[in-house]
Amino acid sequence: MPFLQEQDAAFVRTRFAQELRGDVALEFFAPVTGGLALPGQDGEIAEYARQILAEVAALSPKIRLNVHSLMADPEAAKAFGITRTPATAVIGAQDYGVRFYGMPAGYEFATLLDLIIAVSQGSTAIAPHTRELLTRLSQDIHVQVFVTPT
Amino acid sequence: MRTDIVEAGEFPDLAERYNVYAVPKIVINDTVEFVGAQPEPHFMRYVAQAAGVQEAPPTDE
Repeated sequence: MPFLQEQDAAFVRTRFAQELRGDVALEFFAPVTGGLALPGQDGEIAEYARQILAEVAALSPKIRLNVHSLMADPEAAKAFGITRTPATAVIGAQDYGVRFYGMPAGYEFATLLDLIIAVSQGSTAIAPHTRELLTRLSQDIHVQVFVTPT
Repeated sequence: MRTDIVEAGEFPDLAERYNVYAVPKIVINDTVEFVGAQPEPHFMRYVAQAAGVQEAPPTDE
């Protein structure tokens, strides 16, 4: 059974058509991929997350889903700074450093859509003051946002 | 700047390490933390605090 009902898929498809500019790559990392079935909850959650991303990617020719295995493809994981799964790097014309850990369901599905559109447009509506402060930062900033689907 | 959005329920070890009891919980550089969505100028004050940057009062509040 698909994650998105046809009505919701149509809504997202229209929004993507109107708002996407550049191409977006969803770099998804599961514990393992392919014929090797991973028992237990982690494997099921990763598979469900992959299905959500596949349905989203199917709604615009500008979105591509690349599925990686953390175990089989450690080089890609290193390139995107991924150490846990399931993880998704949302990449536009450049890598803006945003990673999504876990299933992008519930309220976080809206977050995923906003994120895809933001990296596709390559710009956000942040205030001039925010922009100015960011240019003055000399050290790396690591923001972790803990969320739940409900 | 890098940002991780973490489903707390799926990564209980991280949720425990950062004492996540309510969401959204935001942790910056492991040193500054707060709970709840904040207006952008407030959010940036936390970022500045974590970075040790002198923060001028926001002009756009």
